[in-house]
Amino acid sequence: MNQENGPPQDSPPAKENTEPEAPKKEAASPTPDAKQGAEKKAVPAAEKPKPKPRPKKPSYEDLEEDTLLDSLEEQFPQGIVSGQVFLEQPIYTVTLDRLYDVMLYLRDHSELAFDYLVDVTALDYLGDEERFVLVYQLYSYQSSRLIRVKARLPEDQTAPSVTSIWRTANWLEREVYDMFGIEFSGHPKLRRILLPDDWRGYPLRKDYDIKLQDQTWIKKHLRMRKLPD
Amino acid sequence: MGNEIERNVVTTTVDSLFNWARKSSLWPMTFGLACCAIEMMATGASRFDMDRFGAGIFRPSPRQSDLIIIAGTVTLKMAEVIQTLYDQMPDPKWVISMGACSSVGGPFDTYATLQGVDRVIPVDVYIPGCPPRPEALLYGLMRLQDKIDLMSITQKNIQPQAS
Amino acid sequence: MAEQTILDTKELEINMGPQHPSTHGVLRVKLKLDGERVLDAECIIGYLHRGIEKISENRSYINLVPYFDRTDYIAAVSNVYGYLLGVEKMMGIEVPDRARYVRIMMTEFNRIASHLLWLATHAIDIGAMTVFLYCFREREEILKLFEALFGARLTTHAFRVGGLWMDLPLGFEEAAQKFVDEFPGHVDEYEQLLTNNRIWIERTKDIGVISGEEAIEWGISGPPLRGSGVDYDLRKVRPYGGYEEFEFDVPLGVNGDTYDRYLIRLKEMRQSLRIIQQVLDNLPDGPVRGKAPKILKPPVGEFYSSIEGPRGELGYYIVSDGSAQPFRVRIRPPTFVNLQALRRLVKGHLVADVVAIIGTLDIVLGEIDR
Repeated sequence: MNQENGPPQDSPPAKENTEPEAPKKEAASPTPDAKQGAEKKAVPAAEKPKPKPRPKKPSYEDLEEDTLLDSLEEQFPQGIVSGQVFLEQPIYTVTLDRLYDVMLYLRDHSELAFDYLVDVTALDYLGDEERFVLVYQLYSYQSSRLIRVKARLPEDQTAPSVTSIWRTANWLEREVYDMFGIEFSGHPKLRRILLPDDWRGYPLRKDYDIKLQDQTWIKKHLRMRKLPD
Repeated sequence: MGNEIERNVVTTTVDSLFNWARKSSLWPMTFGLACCAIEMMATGASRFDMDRFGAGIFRPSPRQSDLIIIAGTVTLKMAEVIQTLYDQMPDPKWVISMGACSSVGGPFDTYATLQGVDRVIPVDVYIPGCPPRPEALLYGLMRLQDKIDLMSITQKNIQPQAS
Repeated sequence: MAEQTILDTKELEINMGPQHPSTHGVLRVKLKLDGERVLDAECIIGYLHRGIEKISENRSYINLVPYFDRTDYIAAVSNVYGYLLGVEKMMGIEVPDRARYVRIMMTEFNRIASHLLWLATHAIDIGAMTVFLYCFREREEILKLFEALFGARLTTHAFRVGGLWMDLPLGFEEAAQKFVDEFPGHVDEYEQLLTNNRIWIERTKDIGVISGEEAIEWGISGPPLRGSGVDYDLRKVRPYGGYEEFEFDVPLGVNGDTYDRYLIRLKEMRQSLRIIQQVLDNLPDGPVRGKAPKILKPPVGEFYSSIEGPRGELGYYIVSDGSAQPFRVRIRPPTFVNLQALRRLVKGHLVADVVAIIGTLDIVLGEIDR
């Protein structure tokens, strides 16, 4: 399956746009350019433009010349595992024991105060020794930067809660506990949020079958009727 | 023989009167769960007016309603609540299962979804669709009215549905 | 603080159950009351948890779009836009101009439809029944347009990877233009009914006040954030899909109360009309579908794409392991995070104000519970 020649991935464009043409500033006259573009697509055989260099597929690349990564490595020498970028989105991986300190540092950073915790979620790599990966998306209103922080943890390990840093984390961590079974120490009241309180099992783990219903819970709470055949 | 004819003639007229009264003033309960609830609200609005069938007054309390339209996906957590609500409704009561999710579970065949609300309460009319158009809901309502026409007050079990 | 009177007043804990006409779905709120004043409110959600994130590990990328339609079912068209932008970015697929413009136009139509439904339910909760019928009348016009283009009224599988499924039908642009011409008159109607209405002002002014800093701390986004004065609209901050080519304003509030959020959403409807008018004036010709492979297999990686939905920042975190099915798709629902702040917003208000505050947060349980 050939893929369409997308925008060249190696030159970082300023905006997250999938268009190869320069974004038009006024909406006044897009028609002639668009028509030309359409014609280009409609008649590829007649006038073949010189072939664009095949863009390399996006992959994880190491962050270069990133001031945030440098200052993080300075502050937490053993805490930072790596700094990567994928499709212009930076990802910082830290160790679990320094996670809380890194988060506090990021929030109280002088220029890049990450005051908005966008999302907390987790991934499950069944079979790996450090099975779960906690993913935090952070945004800074001051500098308009969106970053991602990850931390790996093995099963049965409790993670530090960041509820005392950002209040948003309260329900988000409860959901991670509900779906994955990762416990957070320091959370004000960690209990299930989406599933019933006495449900057993953690659905988003890879070893939980999608149709597996907790029969004990059903027997206790519901009166199922017998359906006619 | 004369007694029987007399009895039959009188009962039929009263039956049709009662059935006409019941079917023309079905008061549903506000019970929208998910996307089908929006189509139910659109049915109650002015384009597809449900009030012309007498069913426009949505009662918030189950104790004052005689129809429950289960509109939306029924999860296991919610099924408990539906059982309680159904028990609180006074007889005669009817259930319309609106949409694919409440009829058979819909596209959500997962750990948390009840595959059809008829596993916990008896259903009279099933309306397919995802979500069903308001016209489909009105058609389902009319079919329910036809079903109510078959009722009779002399029968002990006044619910004309399979157990 | 309970005084010993003949009527022994104590704290009362009542349940605003999952079945309630004003909770906009299946939300349960446990209220702790002292008479009529709310001391504390605890939200219990999960009554609509269908396991969509688990489903998304078992279906192909394009098969997931109808499921994501059903999360935020009120704004189904704009809902999936973020997801498709993410997939297109990961695969490097180019979207033709005409498709981009039509997508933006339909997204803005959906924003108007969503705000109309919000106004209808918010007003009827507070007691204004006429507004409900008026708003649904306008919403029907928009749903007619959706049906003409997408084939379904509510949960439309609107866009495809690479653009649209089919081009605009004949007469669509005239119908859209007619709507754009008539709609400002209707918004004036709603304003006439509500904006200077003494009852409306009493019920919404100074209810649910939250300052800008607190809103940022709670992670609120969307109109509740802009109501407190913070200028954060993803269409301006991280423009996606071509929004930088259009001119529109982002209305901001001053006090951070319910009345401001109401005014902002009305203004947003007018701004959406502005964008739609610009699209209709400058709609280019051309194909509507870019080249996309039949089986989508993005490379190993992850991407977070977010859009400004009618309710706030709707984000999709897509993790791919190179196969035809995603490894994980995480939906970041704006209303899930906004609803957390309910506890903070209702403290000290009356029971009737709880209804107004739930309405002003504009929650959709399908999105909260997924």
